[in-house]
Amino acid sequence: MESLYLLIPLSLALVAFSAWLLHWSVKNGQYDDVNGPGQAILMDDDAPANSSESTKEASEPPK
Amino acid sequence: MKADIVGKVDNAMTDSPLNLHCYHCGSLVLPQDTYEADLAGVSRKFCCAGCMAIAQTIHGEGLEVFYARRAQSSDKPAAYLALNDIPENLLAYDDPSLLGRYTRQAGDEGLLETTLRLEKIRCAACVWLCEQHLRHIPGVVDVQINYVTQKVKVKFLSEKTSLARLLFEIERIGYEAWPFEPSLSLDKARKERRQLLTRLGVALLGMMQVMMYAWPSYVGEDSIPAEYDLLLGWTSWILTVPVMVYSAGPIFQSAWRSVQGFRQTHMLGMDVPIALALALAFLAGTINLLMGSGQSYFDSITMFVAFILAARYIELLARQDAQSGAEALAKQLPATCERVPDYPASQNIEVVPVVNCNPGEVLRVSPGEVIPADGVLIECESSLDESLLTGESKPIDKKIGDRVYAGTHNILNPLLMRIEAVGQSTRIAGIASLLDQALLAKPLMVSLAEKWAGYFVGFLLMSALLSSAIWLYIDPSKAWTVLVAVLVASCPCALSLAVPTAMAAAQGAVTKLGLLIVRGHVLEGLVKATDLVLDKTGTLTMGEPELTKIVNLRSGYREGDALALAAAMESGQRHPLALSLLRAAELQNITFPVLNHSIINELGKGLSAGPYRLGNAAWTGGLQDAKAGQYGQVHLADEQGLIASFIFLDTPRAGLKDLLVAAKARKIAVHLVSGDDPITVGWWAHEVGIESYQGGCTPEEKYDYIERLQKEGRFVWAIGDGVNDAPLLARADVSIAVGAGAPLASAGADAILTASSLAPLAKTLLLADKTQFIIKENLIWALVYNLVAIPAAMMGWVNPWVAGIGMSASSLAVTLNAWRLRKA
Repeated sequence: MESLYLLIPLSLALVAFSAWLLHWSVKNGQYDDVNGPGQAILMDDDAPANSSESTKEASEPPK
Repeated sequence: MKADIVGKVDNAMTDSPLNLHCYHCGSLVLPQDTYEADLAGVSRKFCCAGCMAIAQTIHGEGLEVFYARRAQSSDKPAAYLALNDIPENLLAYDDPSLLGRYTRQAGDEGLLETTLRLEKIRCAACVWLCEQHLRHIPGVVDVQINYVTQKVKVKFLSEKTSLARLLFEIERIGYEAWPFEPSLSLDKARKERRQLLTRLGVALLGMMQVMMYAWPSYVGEDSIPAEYDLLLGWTSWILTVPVMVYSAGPIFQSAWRSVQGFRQTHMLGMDVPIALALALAFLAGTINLLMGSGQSYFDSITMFVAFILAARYIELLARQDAQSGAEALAKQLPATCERVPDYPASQNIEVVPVVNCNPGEVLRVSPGEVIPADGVLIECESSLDESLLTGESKPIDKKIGDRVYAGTHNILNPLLMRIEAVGQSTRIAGIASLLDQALLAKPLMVSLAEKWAGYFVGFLLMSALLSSAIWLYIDPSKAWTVLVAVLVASCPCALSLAVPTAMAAAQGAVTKLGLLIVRGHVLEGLVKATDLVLDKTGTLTMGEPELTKIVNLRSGYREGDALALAAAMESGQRHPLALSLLRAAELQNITFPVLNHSIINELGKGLSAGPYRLGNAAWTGGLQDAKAGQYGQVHLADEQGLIASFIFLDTPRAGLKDLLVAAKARKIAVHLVSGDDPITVGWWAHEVGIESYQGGCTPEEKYDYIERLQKEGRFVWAIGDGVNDAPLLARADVSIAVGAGAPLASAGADAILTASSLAPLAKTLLLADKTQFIIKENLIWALVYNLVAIPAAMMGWVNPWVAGIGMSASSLAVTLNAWRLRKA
């Protein structure tokens, strides 16, 4: 049970750290647009131009 | 190998009718006027040079994945996009007076920052395309795009590129953008949002952690040694303090203000009992901790604060999404106009920002454009569509000397006007300010939940004080413990969750139906509504004529022939009836005959081309059928007399029947109030079965109509779409704006109908009933739970783990009950 004397301050430090992290991310605008980055990552196609035709085909089932 | 497969797929598509659609905008391509271009080795067909230019631009930058990802086909672009020159109306944005208004210095010399609002965005792929394309412009340093608000912040070097170039580049890929004047309120809104989010986050972290420390006492109360109990208690206390001070700070502040203002208002806000309960529980918890006996309540406190803030955060987001009247007004009017400085000596025009124009100056307005200022027509008679401003469904013929209003559409001829009022003194700005007034005057609705919560807290405080007084009489040492036990054993969680969870679930379901709720009280208001006030043009009807039948056909002519002839004459016209004829011809796949004569537009009569005349009854010698065709009739004739008559009817909005049936079933009185002429309004009221109606109303009269109903004690629900409906929507107890209508109307409304049908409203009515029922169930459950728990606490029977399990079960029951609404 003595471990509590270590674990509880540790958990407090963890909470303080997450509070700071939250403050930083809010101030940084991380929550201003929660949909966009998720969409953007699907859209961004970093493949070279000549292979983009094949990615397109993969995403578009032949009619 | 892959390229081969692609080729085969595309060859297969060439044979299918699918390939007759424009690659970019998806509209039908007529075989004789096809544009073709080779894109990534595949030949694509286009309907116009504009679409081809856009697709080439997109492919040229390697952004063609857009076509695979987009959810909806694009709009047809303007024709000038085929050229690579910035049009004059955009160049005016580089004028110092406008540039200074829309851009600001961003640090280094020559680095400017601007905020643009994107239009015609339909899906995430559109936003992505705009972002990528802007990044490719030389001179653009940084692009930040927000997918939710559809606003872009662009930093650019002023010597390499310009604001006009940015706007043009966005138009070149098929969208529209207009610079946005970032106001102070916008910054304030963002700050408010971020602050509340941080407060909520702190409360959630506190709740999570305190719950963890409280868990041992829930499950093994007797087996914890005293010193560990104390350690856990003080740790919880440390975590509760920031939640009380920082997260719940605004609650205490507003409660204090409400108490201070009690002398004037004689009303206590919702925050007073919340603040009181929080303060008492925290005080009691701290005292118990110091004494080393009794409950600490910190778990309840943090959870309570977290849930309240979560509900408030959701509400704040919805409220901030709504546009302000001023922002909507800016969208309604063009930013630039064509001025004729040397009138009447010369007709030369210069493109200038509207803000730089003064009364007395002469402007030219081309067909298809919006009139930028109020004034008088001085040359070239034309016809204006005033439906958004007045509700009048048919275009108005304007003669020289007639007044024209800012915000209306010129649809016939290029006209010249002399400005009488610009900016804030125009008629449309007047309506916008009436809207803001109306929002202030809107009667506050005391929500059911607040009323119940008020009773509940009153009852709670009374019983706590009473039991404590009784204990003071029996055993003074236990009085304090019982007071606090009663306050906390009562489950504030279930009560605070009862309404927000039901509302959140119902709003989710309603959004799926196609109704976007902006102000929170809509669902509750719908249940109380006694009167429904409908606008006609654009709400009850689509405001678009539809060719219903062709009559008086001369023998020897088929319907198709007459339609083809009429459509050929009307091609290129912007009159609603012309568009309707062309649409009908397109639907029947009619190819237009070639006319040997040029088409002459005779104002007030119709069109003539050689022997053929197409127009009103008196001019063509047709027979006006008084009963048929509320929207209008057009007759086609040649030298030998009438060939055919075309009968038009405004199309009623889909789902109207459902809405009226649902309203009737609930005994809601339906009113039709419109700015259109009284005969047309009367005809429509009769047609759809509405008994009380009023036509020819100005926006002020509409506003008065609602005010009169409200004075009679009626609870008014209004639906509208035009600028002239904006004050009415703002004044009504519950209002819904039709999404495709004027931005100003949406600014005044409580909810926006994003679906084009009215049927979702009928379903929303049912859902509102169900929501109200579930809220009542939840509140009753919370009450019953408390009626059991409070007497037990009064007697001193409740131990912490029982209270803990009871509290969780109670909250869970309420949440699950609310969840049922999502399926609707």
